[in-house]
Amino acid sequence: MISDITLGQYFAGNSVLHRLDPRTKIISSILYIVAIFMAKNIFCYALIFAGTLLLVALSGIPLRMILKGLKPIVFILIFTMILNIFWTSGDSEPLVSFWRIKIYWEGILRAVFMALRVIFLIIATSVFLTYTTSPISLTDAIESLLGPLKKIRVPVHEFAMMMTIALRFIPTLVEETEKIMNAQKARGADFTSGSLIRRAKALIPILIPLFVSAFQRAFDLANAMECRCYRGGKGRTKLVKLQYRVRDVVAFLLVAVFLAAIIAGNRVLAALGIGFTV
Amino acid sequence: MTMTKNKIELKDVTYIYGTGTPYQRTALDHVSVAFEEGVTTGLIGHTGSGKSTMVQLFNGLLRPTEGQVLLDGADIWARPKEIRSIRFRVGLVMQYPEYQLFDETVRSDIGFGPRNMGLSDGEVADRVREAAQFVSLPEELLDKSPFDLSGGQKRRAAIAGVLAMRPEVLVLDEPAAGLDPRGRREILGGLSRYRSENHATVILVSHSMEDMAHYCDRVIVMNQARVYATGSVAEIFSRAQDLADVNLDVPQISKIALALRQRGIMLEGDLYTVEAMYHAVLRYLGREGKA
Repeated sequence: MISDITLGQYFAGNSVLHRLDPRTKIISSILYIVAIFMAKNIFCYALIFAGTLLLVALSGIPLRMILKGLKPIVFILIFTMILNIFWTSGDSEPLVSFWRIKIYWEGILRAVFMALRVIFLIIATSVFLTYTTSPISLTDAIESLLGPLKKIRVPVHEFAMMMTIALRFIPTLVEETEKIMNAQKARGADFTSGSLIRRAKALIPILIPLFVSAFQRAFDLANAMECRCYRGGKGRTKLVKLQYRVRDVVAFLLVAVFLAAIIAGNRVLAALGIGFTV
Repeated sequence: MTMTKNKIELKDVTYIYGTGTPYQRTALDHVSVAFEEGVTTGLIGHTGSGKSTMVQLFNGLLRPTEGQVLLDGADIWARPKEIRSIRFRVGLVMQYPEYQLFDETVRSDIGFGPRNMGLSDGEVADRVREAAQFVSLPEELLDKSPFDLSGGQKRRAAIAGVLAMRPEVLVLDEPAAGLDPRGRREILGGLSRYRSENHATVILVSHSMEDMAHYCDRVIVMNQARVYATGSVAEIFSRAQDLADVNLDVPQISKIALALRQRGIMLEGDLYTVEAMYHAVLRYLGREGKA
């Protein structure tokens, strides 16, 4: 079912992460991504691992849910791991040497760390952003962060409004699609057998009603907005104004220290020759 | 009615949504009901009582988590690959069916079901004409685009799309919702004609107790994933208090009859339609003389 995907879904809650300003979360997740990509040393990876676990714990989202969210990327992970194992050459003797295939210790190491990097990346960004931030406050934050662009006449508010509306209607459209599919199945439509062209043609009875109703909804929404005198971002005030608080400052400091620790750790550990570098 | 047999039957059916997720919900809990051939049964119940789930079990859109759905005594899921053939025999009109219209003309949209059945062009054309007559859709509208029709006409076209398959069992989920009284009467009347001409079994979901009283022979009341009560229309509507307990209403006429009786005006008989009330009042006035 389409509705089973947990990646990119918001889980309502009241954890520390839920309460942070969405702008803090966007900036922090960018810094965190930088930190993940900077990490070269195995001890730095350990630090990232600990940091990511801490984030998950702070978010109050069950670990099982988060691991379930990783399911859709398993294929990509395995694919990149295989590429890395086979295409990395090292200085030492190959572990396996068979015909033209040579597998080096470095290749395996690199594959493992690549995979870890992607996993950390996805967990951290989804915990920071989608899992703990409602789509509405996310677009609010984007609007606020991109605010300076208004000076060069980029219609930031309009983009944010479009994003909000688009996100808002995803579940509605999913539900609508299921209803229409059921209605056509009740009339004997068959989506699962036949050649590719046949199957593509079988989608017409779903797509046309779906588009018709999506346009109808768009017109209705536009009318409703005009009835309430919507006229774009100019002079518009907000019900909930975004405001940085003490906890946001603390969060910024922590993430900055974390990033600094990773960068410093890389250098110091490399100079001392402790742990191996990937 | 001499010999009656069960046309379609749910046997100890349980249906659970989202098994194993935090959103797990039991929509039907060990439900057993039978629908006699040629009888119109009304299905009522509060929102979330399991009506819509039940409706989708009859034609195999949903597969029971437990239990069986029997059509003419045979399990419809005996051969899951042939579930499509069941859908031609059990026609389902979903809520607001006008959202399923897609084809270039009304004619070919109504013909979608029959074409999926693999019928010849001539047969499809016959069935489209017949179905359009049942829902009183004028011939000249058939070559228009379905998107040019009015709301009520779209509804008729969509219902015709199911009737054109000539189903033996017809399941309708709120077929008249949102229509004006005349549109209601015409559509429900057409469905009654379809039933008597094809000796079809009809299952009608509705919130309108008046429609139930007028068009149904029997009523099934659903409450919280279980069957709360079954019986003839008269039996069900005489239990006004039981219905109120599960947040359901009785027809307005029944309420009036009840209020009159409480004031000492003893009308006779089971009163839930306007006609019955009319005769009961006349009889009452005739006996008592003019006050």
